[in-house]
Amino acid sequence: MLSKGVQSRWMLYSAAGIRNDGQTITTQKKTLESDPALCEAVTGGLLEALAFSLTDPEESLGLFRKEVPEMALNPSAKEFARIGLGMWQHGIDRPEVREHGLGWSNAGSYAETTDLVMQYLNSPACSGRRQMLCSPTALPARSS
Amino acid sequence: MQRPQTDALFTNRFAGKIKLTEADWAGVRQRVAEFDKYLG
Repeated sequence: MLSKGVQSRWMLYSAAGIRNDGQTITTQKKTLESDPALCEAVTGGLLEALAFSLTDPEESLGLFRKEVPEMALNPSAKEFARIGLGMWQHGIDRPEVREHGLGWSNAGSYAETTDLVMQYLNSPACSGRRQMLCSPTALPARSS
Repeated sequence: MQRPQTDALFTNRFAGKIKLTEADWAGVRQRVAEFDKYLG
């Protein structure tokens, strides 16, 4: 919406007391056990790309546009990608990552998130709460 | 249903090997500062 000139806002999970470390890289347990070097190489490559995009976002966006030329069909796609990358990097810049390095996650937050999901989304008795969580009215009112 | 053991599903084994410098992070912060106002 913002890329089309519509004023927007975002709310971090942490603003609601939810610790969330964002994206994960997933594999099968048997792959991790049989070929850990492959898992390490894929993870390393992705994190190198992350470091590159953090330190040279303009070049990263240029490379992205070359790989996805159909973006040119949408006049707001370039700005959409720029805002998306910026917001994503805004979320990455946290003390934990500075201290432990790119890709590091707090195991405790996974347990908390899993508990939250099981409490609100995995119980038949919670259908009302599930509806509330999905409702736009559950979000705080805009301050401006 | 019980929550699965976290250490059976998640690992930092391959993470944390790349760290940005303080100067790099300062550049990141400077660039993303324009988005501070959109966070409610």
